Amino acid sequence: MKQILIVDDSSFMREILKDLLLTNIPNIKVNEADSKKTALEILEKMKPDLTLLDIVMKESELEGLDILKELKQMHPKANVIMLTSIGQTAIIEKCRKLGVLHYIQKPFDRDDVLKNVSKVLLDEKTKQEG
Amino acid sequence: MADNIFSKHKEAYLREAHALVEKMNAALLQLEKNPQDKESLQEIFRAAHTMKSNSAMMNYHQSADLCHLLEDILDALRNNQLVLNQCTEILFAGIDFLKANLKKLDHDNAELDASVLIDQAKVLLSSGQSLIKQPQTEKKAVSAAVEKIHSIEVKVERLDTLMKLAEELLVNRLKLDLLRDTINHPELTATVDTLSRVVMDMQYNIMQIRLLPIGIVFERFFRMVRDLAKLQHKEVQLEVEGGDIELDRTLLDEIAESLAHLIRNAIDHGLETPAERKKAGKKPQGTLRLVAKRSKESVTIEVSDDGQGLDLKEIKQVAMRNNLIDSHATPEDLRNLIFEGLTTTKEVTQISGRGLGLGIVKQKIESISGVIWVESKEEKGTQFFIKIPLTLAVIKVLFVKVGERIYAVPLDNIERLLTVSAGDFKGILEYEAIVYANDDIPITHLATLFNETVAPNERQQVVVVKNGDDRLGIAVDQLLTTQEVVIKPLGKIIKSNRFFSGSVLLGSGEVVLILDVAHLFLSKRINYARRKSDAS
Repeated sequence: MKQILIVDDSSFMREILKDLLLTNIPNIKVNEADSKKTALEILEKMKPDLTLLDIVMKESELEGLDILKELKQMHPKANVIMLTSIGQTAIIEKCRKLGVLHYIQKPFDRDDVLKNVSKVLLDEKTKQEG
Repeated sequence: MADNIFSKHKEAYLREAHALVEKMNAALLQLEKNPQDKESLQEIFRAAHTMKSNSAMMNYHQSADLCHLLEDILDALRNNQLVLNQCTEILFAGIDFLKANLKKLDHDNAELDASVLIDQAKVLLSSGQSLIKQPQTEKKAVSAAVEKIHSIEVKVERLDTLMKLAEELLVNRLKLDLLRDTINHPELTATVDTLSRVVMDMQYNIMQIRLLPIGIVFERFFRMVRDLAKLQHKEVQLEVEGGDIELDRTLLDEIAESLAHLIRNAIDHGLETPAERKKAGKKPQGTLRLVAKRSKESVTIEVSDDGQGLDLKEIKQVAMRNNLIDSHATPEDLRNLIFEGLTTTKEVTQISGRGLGLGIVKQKIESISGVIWVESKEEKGTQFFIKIPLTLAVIKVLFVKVGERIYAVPLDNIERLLTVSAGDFKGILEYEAIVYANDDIPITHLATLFNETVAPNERQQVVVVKNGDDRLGIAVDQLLTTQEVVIKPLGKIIKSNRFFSGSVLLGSGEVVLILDVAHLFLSKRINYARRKSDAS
């Protein structure tokens, strides 16, 4: 069972993503976090195989970036896909430098999400088995 | 994407959007009072940003485009390219538009036209000229202010907390019940009785809030069925029924995975390709049905297909080869083998066919006290049934004592209580039994089951429990009282021990385990065999 964490402060976005993943990818469990605090707690406890992280979060404008930094400090090999909106090129560049695997632009295309998520999970599997 | 998520996620969108717009409104009022308040500005920005993304996701372009421009205006404010009093009216007008638009979307899927506002925002951004100087009309302002709130969003954790508090109250109510019986004062009795009713009522109502229609889960499968069928080059139509039946959210989560598994199996193994179906005289398109039915105490969900059905001959062959059954096995025995890890699939596909799957489904269903069974007709199809009891948090139990420990037996399972003398125990065939009313009743000593020594009792207390037509005597040291108790779920470690179905917190704070009678039946013979070998 692969663990996926969705970090987004919009309950609607989380619901859509969760639903999309659960209906299309077998053998996964999806956790959700709507704040930095919950996200870091879950990251520590569950060590998810993949984290989908929204860049603009509640407490400060770029809380997603903070989470990413802390996460990468704790687990340099953690898999992260960023969720971004149009016109955030500068931030995307920062995220790339921090080791983000992909970024998905909102409004996202479902096949794009599924393709990228499946790929990360598959790579993770080969890494573990190899 | 949009067509798909439209109906499915619209409610979630609207719920959050209403809250976001209110947030923008409140923060803008705050900002107007104190134009230096950076935090409020940030708050409007974030709400507008989320609103933009969410609206775009739903293909609500009027809202999304407007929010995009509101963001630009807020950004200009942040960078001091615009000053607040140039922007307040258009920001408020924007919020009003979003609000009105949501109200429209509550009823249909067509948005209001935002083009006038969008043009005004563009002018403001390019020239710094504000085209809106007056607030909305007075009538509109008043009607917006007195609009009633019909629903609110509540986090599940808060409901869980509320539920725990209600259970706490219930435990205390049980203590009060004891006091009422001891003190026996009419006024106290009346008060405690009323309180009891209110507490039960409250718990029931909280449980009602946690209910969600099972249709939410059913909806998810349309896309899955379509995609899987395509992959398998099959034509499958999914039909659902009873989607309005409501279940506790936690149960729904558990069931969803099991249903997904059964559906995958049906498409993978049950339903045939159009060519095969034609050959069998069926229409090329297979039908998969998900039906939920509710009775007073349980919900039954049926997952059925009109495919080829289970191949009982093949199952029998595989099972005989693996010494799982003898030649007398009934069709029911054979069908049940598919839950025990038996698979006849020659080719393990990516989707299913590993055999272990149905065993896990069974475990999952049993972990929420449900049962699963399968029926099948060759060439006609396979039907899986999942029956889940609606959470009954309160049951009546009898407390019994064995050694120093207290256990609880659900009263529903008890047929009668007996006191027998040591000489009445007989070794019949392979198990120990007593004869009562011309019937053999096998006996299980709880003490041996839990590796405690059996105290030699001249007069032995026996609790006779029933499971269908079967009966079993449970030998205990002492019978204590009966009580109405609140069931608590078991921790992980105890969960792996199949003899218990839950626990009870006594008024004294002591935790007592509830015996799972159905599993005691399964263990009765093993238990006696062990006692015999211990003795020899």
